[in-house]
Amino acid sequence: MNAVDTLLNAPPYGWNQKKKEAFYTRELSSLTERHRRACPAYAALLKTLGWNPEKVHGIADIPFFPVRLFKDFELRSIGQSDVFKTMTSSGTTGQQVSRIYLDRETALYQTKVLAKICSGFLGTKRLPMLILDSRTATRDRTLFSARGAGSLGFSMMGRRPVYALDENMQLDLAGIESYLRECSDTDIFLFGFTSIIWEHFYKKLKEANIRLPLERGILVHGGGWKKLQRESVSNEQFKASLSEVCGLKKIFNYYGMVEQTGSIFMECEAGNLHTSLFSDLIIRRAEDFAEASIGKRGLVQLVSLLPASYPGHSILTEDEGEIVGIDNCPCGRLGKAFKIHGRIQNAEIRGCSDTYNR
Amino acid sequence: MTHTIGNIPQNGIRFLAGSPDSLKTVKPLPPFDGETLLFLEDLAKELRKNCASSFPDIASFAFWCRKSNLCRLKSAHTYKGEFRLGRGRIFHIAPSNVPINFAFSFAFGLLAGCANTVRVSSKMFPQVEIVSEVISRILESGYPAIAAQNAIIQYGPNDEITRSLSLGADCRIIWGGDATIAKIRSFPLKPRGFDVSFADRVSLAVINEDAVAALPENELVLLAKQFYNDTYLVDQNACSSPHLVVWITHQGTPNGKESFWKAVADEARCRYDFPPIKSIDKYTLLCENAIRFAESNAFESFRSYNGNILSVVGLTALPIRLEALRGTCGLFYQFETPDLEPLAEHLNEKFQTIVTFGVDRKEIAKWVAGSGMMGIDRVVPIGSALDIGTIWDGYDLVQTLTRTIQYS
Repeated sequence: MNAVDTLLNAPPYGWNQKKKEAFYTRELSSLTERHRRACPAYAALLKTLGWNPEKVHGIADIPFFPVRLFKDFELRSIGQSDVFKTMTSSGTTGQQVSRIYLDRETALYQTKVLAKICSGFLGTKRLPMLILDSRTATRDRTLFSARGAGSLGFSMMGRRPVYALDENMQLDLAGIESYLRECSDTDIFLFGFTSIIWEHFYKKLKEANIRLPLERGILVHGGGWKKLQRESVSNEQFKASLSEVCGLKKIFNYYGMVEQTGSIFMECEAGNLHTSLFSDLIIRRAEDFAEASIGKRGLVQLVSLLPASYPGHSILTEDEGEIVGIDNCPCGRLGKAFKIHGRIQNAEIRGCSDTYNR
Repeated sequence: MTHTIGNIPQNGIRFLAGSPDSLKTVKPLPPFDGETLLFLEDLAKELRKNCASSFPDIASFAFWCRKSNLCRLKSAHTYKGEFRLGRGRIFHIAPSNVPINFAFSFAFGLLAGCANTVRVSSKMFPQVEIVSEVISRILESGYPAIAAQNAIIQYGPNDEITRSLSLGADCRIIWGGDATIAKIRSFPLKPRGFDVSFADRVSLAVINEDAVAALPENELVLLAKQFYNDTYLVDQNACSSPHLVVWITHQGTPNGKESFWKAVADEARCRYDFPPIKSIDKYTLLCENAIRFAESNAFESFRSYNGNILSVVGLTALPIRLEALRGTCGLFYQFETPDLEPLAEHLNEKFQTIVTFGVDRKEIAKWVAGSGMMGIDRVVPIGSALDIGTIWDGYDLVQTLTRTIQYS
């Protein structure tokens, strides 16, 4: 049985770190070897990084490479004809985007794992779903943007998904209200991207002084805080503001990357992000890439067992984070609990002539 | 006739120094003319007094145009029995990545006795504003011959201005990438005019391992310091910063590499500002090159010294497109060879400088000159990589920008 199948049969937050460590060390090693054989670019990289399977004693010994490489190279461990879909990161115009190649099996596992992780927050019964975005984000099925893929991926967790924004990103108030009337006796699953919810949902409701009855809503949102940080909106403010315009009480942020779609990290009731059975996270000190101790900030490395069609099972992000505890979060979930502090700062570029100070 | 700074004429040119009239007047001077030297000395003094301390690059420029250095330069260009004169008007197009180079370019033109139109980048650099302001002030204080025919200007993308300034130029000095140079070249100069182009280039180091192994500790530290100045000081972004270290070594040579890299890493640990983004950029470039150069199969496993501050990749062979193999923020490649022969076929016109230690530089220059290769214009000691001067990129600029008056 595939390693992911094994995990799908276990409770998603039910293993302690020690048990997971042993399982992951073995499975990540075999994934590394599999990609080494199937992806020549990755094999060349491993050689330069000095990969030696015999020296792997823990998850932290698995080689990792910067996530930017998915922008520069076509990294895949499957033949062109096996590519079922290609996902891209949602870069702004002019930026290079990451390209992630999925075969059918990998795509299927992404969906299953996402459902498994979400079931811990949404329950196992599928709820009516309101997507706080526009349908246009999901249009091109072969070339998925992270936003579109997110909406589509999560829409499998809900029933009869309805989009809250029209083609022009305007609030479809009549549609929302009629949908809410139909579902007045049940919990509702809401999903969206953090910045889109803020810009096109929260602000519009606030401006129009409209209060939506979403007391029974459960909101899952992700996609990064970059835009909100510019407006100095914290996670706490985000929650309080939404609660104010629509009575939402259950709001869960998630952290994830298009490079490891499916195995996302959910925020718990205690406000911590969590590793599930399907992924793990290591905080590394930028100055030497050694593991940072608990409570110390560093670069975030993500590992996941899902990436089988491309070598994305161990990637170094440009985000800064810290581990706040292991197997001891008050919410009861086992594994690592952590916080993300956002993107690292860009440096100034130095050029030809700082020659005098010697 | 004097004009105020920041005067923006209708055609979109902003004058940081000089005026519309000083774009037109041309009255060449002999190289190293007395008034020119006095002006540059004054400029150096003024810059050192006021603003050099907060900008190391301004300090570096001021240090270069101090009196003693100008005297040294003058005596190196005696042109005995020759009569020389500036060629006329030079149109300088300064780079957009290195703020202070506009000032060096301007000074080279002045020393040659030319009239200068210096176009600085439309990006706002404080160094450019500061130095231009001082230049403008000193020009107006009593250098009429220079003030009459020199201007520092700024304008946004505007082909018409570039075209008209080019049409009036006897020579054009272009600093920039290949695309910039190609674009500027499409505008004709005066019929007898010519371009001097300073394009993007790369550099390397050649070190004799025996010589390093024999160094006492204090001299090794000094060598590491100088290597640091050539590289880390500009994040290896300068054209003349080395990326590749070629070790001249033989069977039985004691190991000098390890002690050298350790000393460099120690120097970097003390001096280098190493925020997380640089660590990531460096690791990313290492991984990218491992993939880009996969076909060469030449990369050994990389080694780190003092954490991530120094990374070194051994090469078992020199890959094709060696010029594309670059480092950043303390990422180097090294290759061992008993002599320089394996390099010959790789040193194309993209290669500018060889910095050396423990080898005979004259021998290397001779080897370059005798080998028929297209690259290498400069062989200097480690520590001098960034010392820009009137001889640059293979040109003796004073010679190039002056004409000789033949008589018999």
